[in-house]
Amino acid sequence: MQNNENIKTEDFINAYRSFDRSNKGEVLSYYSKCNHSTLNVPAIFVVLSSVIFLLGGVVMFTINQNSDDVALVKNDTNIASSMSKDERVQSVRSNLEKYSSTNIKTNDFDNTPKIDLASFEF
Amino acid sequence: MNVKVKYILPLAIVIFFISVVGVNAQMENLRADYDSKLATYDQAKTDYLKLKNLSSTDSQRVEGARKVLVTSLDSVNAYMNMFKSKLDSIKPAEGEGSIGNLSDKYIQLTGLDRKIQDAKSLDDLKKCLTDTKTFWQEVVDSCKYVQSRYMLFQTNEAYLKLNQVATELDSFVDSEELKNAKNSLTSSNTEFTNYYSQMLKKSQSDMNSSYADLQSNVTKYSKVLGDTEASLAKVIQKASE
Repeated sequence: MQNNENIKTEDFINAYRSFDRSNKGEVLSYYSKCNHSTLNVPAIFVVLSSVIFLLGGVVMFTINQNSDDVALVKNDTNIASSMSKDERVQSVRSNLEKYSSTNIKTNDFDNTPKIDLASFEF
Repeated sequence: MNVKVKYILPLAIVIFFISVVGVNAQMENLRADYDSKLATYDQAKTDYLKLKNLSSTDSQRVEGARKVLVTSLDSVNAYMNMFKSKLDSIKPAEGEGSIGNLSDKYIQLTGLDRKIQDAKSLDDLKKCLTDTKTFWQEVVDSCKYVQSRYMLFQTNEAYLKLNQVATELDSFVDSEELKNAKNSLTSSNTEFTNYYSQMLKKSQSDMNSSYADLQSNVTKYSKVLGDTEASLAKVIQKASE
């Protein structure tokens, strides 16, 4: 293994010595392939960090949303207490007007005329 | 004033009134459509009887009879639409997929209409008339059930909403009148809730057979709701003085 690596390093040195500027990238790429494992550690680190960062963002966003909800609920509770008595009376009066039970009509069905079919024959 | 109260509350009230006006206008339109279809059906019947008395040809009578059936189905469809609109405004009970079988009736109506269009002779149309009569009776039963559920749902909603108003009042008013109104509302609401849950267990035919009882019960509960509303209105009046 050690021997193999030495040969590859030697190849690289030879290649590097005689390199042509346009082939520099190719030579470096060859060296990289020979001396490093196929796992690209820096790339994996970047990807993992990004994933952790994104997950952290999602978690923070969720926590923030929940705390906003709580804040809204508290605000809602405070709306009533922040309203003057006149405003509260006005609010409850308009709610009472909206919820009138006079909308319940018990004779609607009976009062709708029916189609006279039973007595008809061709 | 808080921004939410200043802008959102008036907006909610406007939306509510628009929706109430919209629903009422829709109901009025559906009723007007039904009345007009019913008039067309009555005219088709009169025209057919004239043909019969004039000993018209078979083909004339077949077309006259077909028109009677087609216009009768148009009327049935318009009748169903009125109750479908009510059905759409109520929520099914917990664990209940859909309310009644009115939706299925539209499919049956289409099948019956096709049968009427395909009928070749007066005998075929006579069979169609028998089927239409049976179908109409089934539709009336379905609609009666929808009406029962609609009245129960409306009563339940009125209790819920009146309770909200009473609770809202209770948060800043302390009066004997309010306490009495709340007690009366709570006791009547408990009684209604028991009645409502019993009624929800009933089948369409059971509920239809006790329709008169249901009407009288809903009238009774509406009276309590009306009285409580009046009491709460008095409490509000005093609170504003």
